[in-house]
Amino acid sequence: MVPEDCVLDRTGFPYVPLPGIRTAIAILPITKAQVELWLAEPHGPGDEWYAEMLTHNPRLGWRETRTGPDTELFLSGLLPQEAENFAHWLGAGYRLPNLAEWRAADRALSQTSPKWAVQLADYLAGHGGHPAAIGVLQRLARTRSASSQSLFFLQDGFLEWVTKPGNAPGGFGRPSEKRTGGMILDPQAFDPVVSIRGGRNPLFSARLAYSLPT
Amino acid sequence: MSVFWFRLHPAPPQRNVVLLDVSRAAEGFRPVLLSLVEGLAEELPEPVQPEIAFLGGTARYPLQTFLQRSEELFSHNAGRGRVLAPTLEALPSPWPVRVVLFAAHPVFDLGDWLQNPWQNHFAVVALDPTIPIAGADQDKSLNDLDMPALARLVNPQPRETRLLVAGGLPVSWPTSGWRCEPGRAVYPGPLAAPVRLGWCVPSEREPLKSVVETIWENGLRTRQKPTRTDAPALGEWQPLTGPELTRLDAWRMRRAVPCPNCQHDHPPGQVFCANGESGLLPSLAGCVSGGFVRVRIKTFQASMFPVREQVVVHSETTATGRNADGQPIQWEYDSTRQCWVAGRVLSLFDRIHAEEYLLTLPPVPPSAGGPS
Repeated sequence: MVPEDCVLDRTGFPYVPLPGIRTAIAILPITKAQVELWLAEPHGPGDEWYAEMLTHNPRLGWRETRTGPDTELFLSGLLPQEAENFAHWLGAGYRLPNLAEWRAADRALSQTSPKWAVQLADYLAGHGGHPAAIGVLQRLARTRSASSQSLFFLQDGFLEWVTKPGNAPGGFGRPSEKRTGGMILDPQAFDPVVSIRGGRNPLFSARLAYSLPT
Repeated sequence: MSVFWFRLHPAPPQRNVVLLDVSRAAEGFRPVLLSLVEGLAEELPEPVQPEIAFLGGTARYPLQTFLQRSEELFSHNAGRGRVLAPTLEALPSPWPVRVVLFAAHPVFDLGDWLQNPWQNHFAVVALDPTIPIAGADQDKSLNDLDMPALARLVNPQPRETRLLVAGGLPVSWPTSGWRCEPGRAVYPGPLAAPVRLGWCVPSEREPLKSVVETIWENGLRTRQKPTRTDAPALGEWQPLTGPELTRLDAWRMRRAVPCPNCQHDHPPGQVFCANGESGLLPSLAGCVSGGFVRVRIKTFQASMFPVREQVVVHSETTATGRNADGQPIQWEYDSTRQCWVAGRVLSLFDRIHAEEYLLTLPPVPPSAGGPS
């Protein structure tokens, strides 16, 4: 994968094309910086909704100099339909990934090096990337340089909504055992996790896919 | 050593920005916001009327356009969420001196913008004094601001203008209000008209590093490159008369000279009689009070050069200015510390080269017509 292959959504966040399929996948789960651009629209999701989301996972601004958990840069606790609503606002072709796409993304991003994230941030700086996309990538390259899986939030991140034909959406990811109550998850081997309780769960987030035009 | 000349211009009128909260929670404040903008239109002249933007939106409108289309613009933007980033990221760089946010409820990403380098640009006015926006200690409340105060908040003035030249010594500046010292010349307020300042800089400190800083009432510091300008026309050496040569010769020997005007002895450097006349050296009539005069004394002739600058440069590393008490002092450039340091206090008639002396005129000559 090379940074030049990335496509940007309307918020200026990057997606990488997946090998062999006409799908690009977001480098990162949905960030609060992206959702705030949606929120700023006259017909956005509304301040009350966002305020409720922040009760599940507080906000850390990417510009802020204070330290805080990286997870607070991202929007979590959102429901699959809310992720779809955000995808709809991004434009035609944006959606939740299906199970196979998410796994392909997991493999592709895991094979990159943390250095690649820095190269990508540099590329975005000169090619219309949103300052938040660049800032978040640079920050994660500092704080999560142990592996690409960690840097791109595939490890120690969230459960990310995926669709599965005939089934309710489930979550793929490898959140820390501390957050899953000791459960070790392997999204390459097992089915997506389904929230039994329903409702909002701060462990759930989303990483969007984009259907590349044929 | 070179002398560089700069021209400083008054700060151009600032086109600042006012942000209006049009979120659902602020709907009831629409008439208040409109009357605030109308008030600013009355209070501020057109060149400094702010642009109006909606919190969350990227467009900015000239104030008069906003007033003409307010209904349409309010309804088009109503419901925007309370986030600053889209609006502030769309501002031109460098940022306007002042961005004032009128908000009814807390803004989600306000914390991002209340830190450097944005914090001094930013002011928050709480529309409802019972609902803090940036925090009770940081919010301005509408209750505490009358229209002139609000206009001042939107359009702060320069509090200080500074010209900083690394390794430089100011040699010439406008006489009123400026405070000058090695490395900096400071004017306490906005400049009303262009001014010219001269600086001497040792060759080892070239190329020149210089900047104009404007310190605004809101604490903001803006910087720009100063404009270089030509040196003013040089004066000329003027001949002194034979009797003047004789008197200067005596001063050179550290002897007092009897004055043909007041009949008193004038010690070296005392140009004026008590009545303000200069009977001893009549050629100096018309020289600027508080200035310096270079004097060359040769065997059969003497000449003078009235210095227009406040500091006289003698060599690559020495110059003469005045200390806070008005006494002439020698400035010396210290290459090790790379700065100018004040040296010895000079006498009023002091030798600076083999044949050249520096005469220091009193800041205010004795009043004409006084007792002699």
